[in-house]
Amino acid sequence: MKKYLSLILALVMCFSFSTTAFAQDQFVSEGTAEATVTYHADSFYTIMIPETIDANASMTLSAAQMNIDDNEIVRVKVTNLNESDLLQLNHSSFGGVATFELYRNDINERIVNHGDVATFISGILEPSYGVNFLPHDPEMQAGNYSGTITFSISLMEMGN
Amino acid sequence: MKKKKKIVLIILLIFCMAIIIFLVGRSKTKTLLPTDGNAVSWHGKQDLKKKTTQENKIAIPGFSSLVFNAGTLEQKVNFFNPEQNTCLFKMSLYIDDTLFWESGYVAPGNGYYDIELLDTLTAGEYNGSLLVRCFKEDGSKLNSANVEFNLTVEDNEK
Repeated sequence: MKKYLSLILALVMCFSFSTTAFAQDQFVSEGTAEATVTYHADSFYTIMIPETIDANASMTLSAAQMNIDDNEIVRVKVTNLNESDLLQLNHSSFGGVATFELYRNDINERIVNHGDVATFISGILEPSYGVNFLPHDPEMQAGNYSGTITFSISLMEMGN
Repeated sequence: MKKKKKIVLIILLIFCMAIIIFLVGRSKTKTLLPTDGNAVSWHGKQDLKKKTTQENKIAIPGFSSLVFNAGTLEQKVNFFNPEQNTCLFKMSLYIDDTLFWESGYVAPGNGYYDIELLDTLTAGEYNGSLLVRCFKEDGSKLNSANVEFNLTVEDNEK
């Protein structure tokens, strides 16, 4: 008798420990129920920037990864242009500077007011245009000039 | 005597005509030097192609958002220098234009999962930016990138 009683009590205890998992509060009298499962995968991308700039040639940025939403765009700008939208490079020896205007090479339009130097959309690794550098003063002192660029990279929704 | 004079005059005339024919012939060959029809009217220098250098690239990882915990200095991140790079990264985290964290020089294939901020944050939305400055091992400065993102700071209870 004691054995049966302990077995019944053990079974009662087991059932009392079980809990019901609710996916969403939804009352179902009979049949089946559906629950919505959502998941957001964050966008990620890798932009390839040049180590240095050769202003004698065009500059074209690219991407190694562009896993972003269809309504998103990655915009790349140059942040260290001066107030006249000119890139300044320093002469290697005499201390002078040379300034360059930046042009989109597809429509030959000057890049001003923090305009984009490249844009990328979902799955596209090559931008539709590159950038040309045009000396602001063509009669500059002969020699080597150098400087660096700081690119600003941001992901935003299209239209912003 | 008259006949002699006539002969001298004729010889003189022939001599003069020979000189005139010689001079006219010489001047004609001078003006007839041919000019090159391929040459065009000059109106200033054009831009010529210049010698270009081999361009190495730097991989900059980008992300759209980051979530931090409010009221604590320790935070979880994925800040790294991709293995494919050949340069060192020095990263600086700015939140609403204020510096909150700075790395040392990070070699390719290394990064940070945990960082300690200079100050705590209260819950809210912020503008975040990770300034990635790139250097060669000898200290030469390379181009840099500033990755902008949205920072959400949540209370720990969430």
